[in-house]
Amino acid sequence: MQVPVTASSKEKTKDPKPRSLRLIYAGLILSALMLAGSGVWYIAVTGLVGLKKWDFDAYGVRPMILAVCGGALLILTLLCYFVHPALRNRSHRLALDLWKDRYRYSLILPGLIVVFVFSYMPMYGIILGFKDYKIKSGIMFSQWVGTYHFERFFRSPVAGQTIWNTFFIGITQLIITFPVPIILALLMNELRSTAFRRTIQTIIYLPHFISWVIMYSLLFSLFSITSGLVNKLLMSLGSPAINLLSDPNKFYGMLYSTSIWKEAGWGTIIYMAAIAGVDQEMYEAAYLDGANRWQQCIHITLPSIAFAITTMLILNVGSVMGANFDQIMNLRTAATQTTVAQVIDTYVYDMGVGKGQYDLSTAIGLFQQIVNCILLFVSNYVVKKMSGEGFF
Amino acid sequence: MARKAALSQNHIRRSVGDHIFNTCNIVLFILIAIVILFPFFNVFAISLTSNVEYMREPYIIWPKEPTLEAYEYIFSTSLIPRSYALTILITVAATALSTLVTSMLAYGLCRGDLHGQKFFMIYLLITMFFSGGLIPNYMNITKTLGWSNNLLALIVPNSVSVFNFIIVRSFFRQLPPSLEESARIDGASEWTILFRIIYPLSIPTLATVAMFVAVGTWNSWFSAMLYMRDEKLYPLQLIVRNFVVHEARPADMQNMEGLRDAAGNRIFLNETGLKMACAVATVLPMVIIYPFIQKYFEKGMTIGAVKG
Repeated sequence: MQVPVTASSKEKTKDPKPRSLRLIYAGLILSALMLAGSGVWYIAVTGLVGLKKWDFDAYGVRPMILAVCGGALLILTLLCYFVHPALRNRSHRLALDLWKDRYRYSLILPGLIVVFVFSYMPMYGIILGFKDYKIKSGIMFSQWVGTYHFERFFRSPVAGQTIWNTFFIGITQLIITFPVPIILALLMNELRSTAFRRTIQTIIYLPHFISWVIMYSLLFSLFSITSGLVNKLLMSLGSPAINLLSDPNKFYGMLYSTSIWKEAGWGTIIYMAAIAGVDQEMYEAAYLDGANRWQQCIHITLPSIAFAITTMLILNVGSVMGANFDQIMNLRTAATQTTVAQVIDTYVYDMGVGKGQYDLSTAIGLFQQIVNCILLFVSNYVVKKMSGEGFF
Repeated sequence: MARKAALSQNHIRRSVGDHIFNTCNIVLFILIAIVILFPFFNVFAISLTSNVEYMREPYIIWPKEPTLEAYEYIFSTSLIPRSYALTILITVAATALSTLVTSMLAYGLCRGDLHGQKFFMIYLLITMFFSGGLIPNYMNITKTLGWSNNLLALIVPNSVSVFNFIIVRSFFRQLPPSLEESARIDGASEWTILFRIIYPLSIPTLATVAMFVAVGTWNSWFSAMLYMRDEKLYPLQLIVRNFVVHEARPADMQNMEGLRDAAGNRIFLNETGLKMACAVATVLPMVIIYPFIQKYFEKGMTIGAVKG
């Protein structure tokens, strides 16, 4: 545990940390075991009493055995807990510290509970990806099927196309949209009038604040095949209407351009802040040495914001597979949703929520999560090797 | 920036190329501004167009006789006003809850001298990289918590965002520790310190975080689609989505055929105009509030990115 050595915490650094740390870990492990024990016991007893209809037979464990195991685990851990040194010996340093900080623990408690309930409890549901889900058995007592769902997904003809679409859209969208905010910020920095620049900033941040639902409404008002303004203009000029919204060939173009329209302006905030932090004397020195604005931009501004660019790149690469779910959900149409617009996220949604195949779509979602994590860590590693600066 | 501007303006040698570049740059940004603002203008124009004019004219930039009938109609149904109230309620509740819980968490963990500090940080950061996924989340909220058709499902689940937590925490860490120390010596409890000393000092940061949550909640439709069965509990975005994206007119608007004007003639409303009126009504609060919060979010985004 790292403690910043300040005047206030100097006396704490003398504390035998390893010992109290061990105690904390022991306490946590005991709590986890206690939780597991009470969970098993709860299931077994509610099953025995008949309160819940757990499918014990399909699971192959007798409820009586479960009840005994769970109960024993619970009682043992409870006993261990009460002979825990920190609790038995109240004068112990750790107990004192915990008591002294009780208000701060009470401050962080609601947050920790929310994270547990809404982020950690669903993780238990991931085992659904390895089970054959039956509603009456629930997640816990459905039959294990190993990697059946993964095999089923990878063997299906949809898989190849879906995975390909996901990567293709993610990577091309990253390549096409990522440089735009940087270029915009560099150009915006060259605007001489501050008032004009502020106005432009106000305008280009605006689209970030509207939802993709509204974004689709805007597109619809312009490009709807029958009533969109652009198509009406084209038709009154005698040229054929362009079918932007439901033509599979134009889908990717629509994705890229709407992404740029909506998020490029917002993306400039970070680069503008980084540019504002550049030392002005460097520009003066460069100017005296005869560097023109282009050279100043390339040799001073760009290297100065390299760290911001790296950070944003890692963040973007990490979410390359799942960043545009909202966008695709709103921009896809009947003509595109099973072909070019089918990405893993939408497939998980269609299979899970649409067709009720919870187990299959959990498995696919897990596959995507793992790939995402790998991408994030690999990109961080690569950037660290290349520039010496990683994100974490 | 000012010195740089002064330097280049006072100098005699401003080349022709410089002037051309400046002009092109300004023109480019004016074009960008038009491209961004025109769709909003167009949606607003369509929402003010009557059906007759919409059918008659080949194209409409701005209606010759603007009419508010689409707005009058959508606010005369019970669906849209109720949904408006509901969306405001959800947004306010989620924002208040999230700002409170996140800032409490950030304050408790900001000094780094709590037992288990490292564990708590890792516990929070893991959720940034890994989550249960769509279906486990769905099962958790509908089956385990039993919150389907319950507004809590739209308010509580996102109340701790680790990204916002990092923003607030890094701001709290910049405050001098002596502030808390002196208050503590005077006998103030941690809750008093947080509410009386820390909060008043960090209003810009809290406003940024509150704004992120408010915008996110106002714009969200997906969780409502998952958890709400009853159209009466739909937030605005979901109604607009069903209406515009799926072209399914809300149940409350089905009786449009029965509309009569004062003389008893049937009124035909402009269907696209109705959709666009719903969209304008949905986006309006955001556009109105947005200029006031701009100075906050620029700062907040920067803290989050640099310290992240």
